Amino acid sequence: MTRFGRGRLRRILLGAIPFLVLGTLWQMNAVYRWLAPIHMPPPASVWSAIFTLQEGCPGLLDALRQGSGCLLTNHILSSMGRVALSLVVGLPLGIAFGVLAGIHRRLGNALEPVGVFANAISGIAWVPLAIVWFGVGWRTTLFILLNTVFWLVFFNTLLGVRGVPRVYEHGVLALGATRWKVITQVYVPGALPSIVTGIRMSMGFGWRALIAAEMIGGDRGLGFMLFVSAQEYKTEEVFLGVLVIAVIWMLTDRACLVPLERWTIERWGLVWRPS
Amino acid sequence: MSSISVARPDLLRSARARRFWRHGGLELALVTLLALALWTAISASIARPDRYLPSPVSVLDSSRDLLWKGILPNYLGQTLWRLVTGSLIGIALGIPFGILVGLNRTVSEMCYPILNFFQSISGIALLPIVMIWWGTTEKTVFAVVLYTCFFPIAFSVLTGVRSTPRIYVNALRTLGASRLRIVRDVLLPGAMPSIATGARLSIGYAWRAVIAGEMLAGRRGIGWMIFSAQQVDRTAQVVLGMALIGVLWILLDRYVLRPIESDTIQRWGLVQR
Amino acid sequence: MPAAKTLERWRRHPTVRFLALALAVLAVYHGYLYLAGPSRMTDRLRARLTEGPSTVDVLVTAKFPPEEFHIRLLQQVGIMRGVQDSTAKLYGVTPANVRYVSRHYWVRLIDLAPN
Repeated sequence: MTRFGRGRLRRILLGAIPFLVLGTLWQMNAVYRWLAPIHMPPPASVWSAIFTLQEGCPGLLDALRQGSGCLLTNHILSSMGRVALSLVVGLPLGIAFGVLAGIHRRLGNALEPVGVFANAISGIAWVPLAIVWFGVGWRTTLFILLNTVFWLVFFNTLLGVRGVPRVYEHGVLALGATRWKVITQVYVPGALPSIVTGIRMSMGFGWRALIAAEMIGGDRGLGFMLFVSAQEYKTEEVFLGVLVIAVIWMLTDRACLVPLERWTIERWGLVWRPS
Repeated sequence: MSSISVARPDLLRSARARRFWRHGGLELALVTLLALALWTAISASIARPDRYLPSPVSVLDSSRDLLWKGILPNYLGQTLWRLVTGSLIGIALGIPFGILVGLNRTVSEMCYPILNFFQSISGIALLPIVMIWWGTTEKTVFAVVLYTCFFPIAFSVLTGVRSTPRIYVNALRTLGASRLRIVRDVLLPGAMPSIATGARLSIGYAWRAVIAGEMLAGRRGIGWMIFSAQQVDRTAQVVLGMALIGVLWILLDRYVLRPIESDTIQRWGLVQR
Repeated sequence: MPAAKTLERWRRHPTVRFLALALAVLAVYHGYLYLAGPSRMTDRLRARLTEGPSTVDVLVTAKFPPEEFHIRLLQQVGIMRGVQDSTAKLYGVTPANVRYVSRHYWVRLIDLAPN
């Protein structure tokens, strides 16, 4: 029995406490100077870094159009644009190939080692080779992202489709379904938890790989901004970048992935969320 | 993994061989040969193969060269050492932390969002900050690997402990068990599947963090090898490094992480349902 | 105490086997390097080392012209004073470090530097 009662308000308040504690410590550090400002910049300077980076930005529309001078929004839009593009291209391809490989036993057996190996070479390890092929720039980062997303979704879809009991296919075929119906009504729904896991993993790993690729071989984007600011010892910009990355990831997680997962996995599995 | 005693062990060996061939062994062999042949063909047909796509033979040559000069074992050892120390310590810290936080419902609800928050900031994103603090030293890479390993497993263990059905805890309480006893006999076994899964996830993240850390912080290792080789156009070394990374991860995952995970779930997973 | 059956099960576990194999390979590798170390030192050097000096000056001959990797490694144990063909001159190396260098298999010979 609890003293405060259940409810979302209680959870939100409780969950906010550690953040408040950390924020307070951070602000106290700015006042008492336990750590040098170059190591731990005061919150105020991180906040004002937003405006210094956006200096020279004519307006909201220009920011959306990636006008010059709107550094922060440019980087954010670059990164997110690449993520969106790679998802739009990589997800359908990965799912399609995965379903195909899962259905044909021989093809699946042949492609599974390829998938295992491609996944084992993590996205980061591809960066130097991608730089050799595409040079430093957006092509490299997009390639890395596409690579990561495609292979993860492909492999998870393959496993998911393989895991659907054949009985269902036979049952639906016995009722006179076409091949296409078998795929859409039996295999894809049956593999949906795996597909969703694959999407979630690919977004998680893809986002990390993107940041790393931008740091090493990019010329735009949040990772690039982090790296360049760190080289210039502008710690407040680095902190800002890290916070932006965290916020973006939490938003995507909360807005897209959790509902997606709730729709498929939590219906059948036991995953605890505070509720 | 055959624990049956047989009168004819030679037949058993061929049974394993037969299993290999039946379960896609033929396809594996064919795909490997086909991939190598395709690779060699593409490499032979492009303009500057040694820069853009060195053939498998030249990759093997560079591996021989690096082995002969004692460079490769050294780099391999360094990378693996960083991975092992960072991840073992990170996991050793993360499991008790997760259990402690998971004991109390209020505390776990308090810590859930902040653990989620730090888990979403990958260690790689923190590398620039840590490099400002500690420069390009071994401490930087170690700290990043430690961080990368700690949060996923702490989060996973927290979830696992909270998912253990309360009825078991209450049952032990009615029998007069102490807090420690409850942890040992109910919560720890109940959290075992999450510990195994979380450890696997953590080590996966840590592996990527080691490679990225070596590339960015300039510490000698496999990651550094492929990064610096690209800068001097020794693409054969780059491909060699990538192949090594892939093989190492496959070995680690298939022979260490996944057996432990599936064994643990097999043994302790029943508690969840 | 784990029963005999449990021990048997552990012995056949793939992870245990893999780790045991990996450790065995490492042990053999390092063991060989350790044992082969002294054979790479010349008699002069070994004689000098038995006198217990604080530092010695050595000539390290590799099996090939040393590259950046090897030079870095050697510079960590002594002050490098030049490379001629495959031989590097190192000043101020402690005996422990001499033994450390001798254990690398790409070293052909370590000799006492003439001075």
